[in-house]
Amino acid sequence: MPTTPEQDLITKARSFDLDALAEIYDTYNLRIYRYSYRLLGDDNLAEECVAETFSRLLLAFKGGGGPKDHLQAYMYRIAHNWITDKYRRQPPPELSLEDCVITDKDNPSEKAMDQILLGQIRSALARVTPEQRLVVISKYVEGLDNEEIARIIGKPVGAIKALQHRALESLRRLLEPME
Amino acid sequence: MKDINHSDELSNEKFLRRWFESLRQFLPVRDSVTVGKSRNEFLQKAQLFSVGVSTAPKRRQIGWIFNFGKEPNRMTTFVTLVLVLSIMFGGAGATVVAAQDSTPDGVLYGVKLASENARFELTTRTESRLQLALSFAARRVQEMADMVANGEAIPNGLVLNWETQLNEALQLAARLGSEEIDPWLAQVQNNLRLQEQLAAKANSSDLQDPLLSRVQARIQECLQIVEEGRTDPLQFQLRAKNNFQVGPEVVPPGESYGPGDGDCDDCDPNGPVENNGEQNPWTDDIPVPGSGYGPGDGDCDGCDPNGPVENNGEHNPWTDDDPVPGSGYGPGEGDGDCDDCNSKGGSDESGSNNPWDGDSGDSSSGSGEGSGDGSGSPQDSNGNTDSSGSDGKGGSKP
Repeated sequence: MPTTPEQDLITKARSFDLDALAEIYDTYNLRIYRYSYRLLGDDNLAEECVAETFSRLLLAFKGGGGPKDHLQAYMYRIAHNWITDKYRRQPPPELSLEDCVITDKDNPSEKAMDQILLGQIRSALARVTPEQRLVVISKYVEGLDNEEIARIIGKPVGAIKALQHRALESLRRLLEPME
Repeated sequence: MKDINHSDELSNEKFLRRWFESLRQFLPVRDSVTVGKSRNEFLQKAQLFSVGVSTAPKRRQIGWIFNFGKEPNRMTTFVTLVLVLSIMFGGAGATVVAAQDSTPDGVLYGVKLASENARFELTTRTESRLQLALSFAARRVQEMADMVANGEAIPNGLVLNWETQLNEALQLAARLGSEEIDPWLAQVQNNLRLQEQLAAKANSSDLQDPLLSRVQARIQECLQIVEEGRTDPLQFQLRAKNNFQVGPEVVPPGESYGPGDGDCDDCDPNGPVENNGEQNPWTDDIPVPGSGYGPGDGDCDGCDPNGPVENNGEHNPWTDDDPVPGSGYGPGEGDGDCDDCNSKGGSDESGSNNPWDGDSGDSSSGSGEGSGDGSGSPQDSNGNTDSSGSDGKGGSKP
């Protein structure tokens, strides 16, 4: 059975080929960082999440486990589990407007508006369940499809759709008064 | 489960779009130094894991299988050893396992080293032994780093163990064939870099540990050796014979020159010092005239012991004949003419007699005595001087 380039990469990484592991790190570290920062709102915690995610990947390879394919989903899943644990122990801090860095906007008023919207959506996201939050961030911010999100959470696609529906309803309910 | 109303969902998506957009555009600024550091730490950890890992363990057979035989139970040599020791010495096996985390100042550290040695000795493949030696050397550096971090002094024995294991690794690498040596040297190089980072991290404070500094210096030397070895594996293998000591380059036999073997099978121990007591090794023949070299025989059979110093008291050894006129050499310092000399000659005069001719002077030979008055008129064939000299008293001597 022919193997995909991703499967070849994983096979090399399993035998601790440093080039393959470096490629995986370079591909996913920024994505995991953004994902965790958007959920946690703290750059130190986000860096910690990145380090822990890749460390757990190595431990999984060492123990003979780890992914055989769908590496991206696997990486997000580890990060998701770590963030969920963090949420359980301590809720994420509110993100102050000064911490928000909006790019692609030159107009100061547009920037200010985006910062307000960002603060509102982050506050609303902090009030939905971790799974709903994961679905919303993965789908509407990271651009993952339902099948991939299903692999991250370990649930069928139908359950993901239901989660997504409930998450959107909850967010709308929370954000409507702010409009 | 409640049916999902798609129109509601689209409406919600539309409503939330601008919030999602603000979240999507939110790109946190990340410190590039932190990113590089995290990447290095990840790769270092991977390198550490790779040292102890040869191949991924085979997973157990699950599901329907056509092989009804008993699933083979493969046991590693190390586990076998631990079990045998357990049976022989009761709880000693458990002690060996417990000792694996012990520190150099711990009670069980000796057991840990003994178990490492046993594991190393039981491994036969060169590549596996090399991996083990590297792994153990890295462990020693980690132990040194931990001790420095805890404010403890590093024992000399620990450094000695580390150096032995590192040298062992280099020697094992040198035994590999020319085709497979490079990837293994690359692995040695990575391991050395890891050791260097561990040592540098531990030794970065103001008060540097002298032993750890020495370890760092040796790691640097070894890194250079390995780096050069990757460029020239043959030289690396030759240096292995010299135990990788830093020193002058080793010249392979037959490729250039070098010191002799020190024995004196075919030489004269009493020979001249400049030849280290040996005769000329390039010829056994007797030097011949015209060859341009060769000592004399040392005796003085045909020589004048009172001869000139520049000839060492010897005549020309290449001829026994008498010197002939015109040969350009002979005793005396005269120029051959007798313009301003005494016709009688004599050792007390500046002039000299012609020593080569005892006969009467010939007018055309240019030899013979002068006129005695210093005019130097030549003689005629009858022994008379030329008439031009009226007061000439000269004549040829009988």
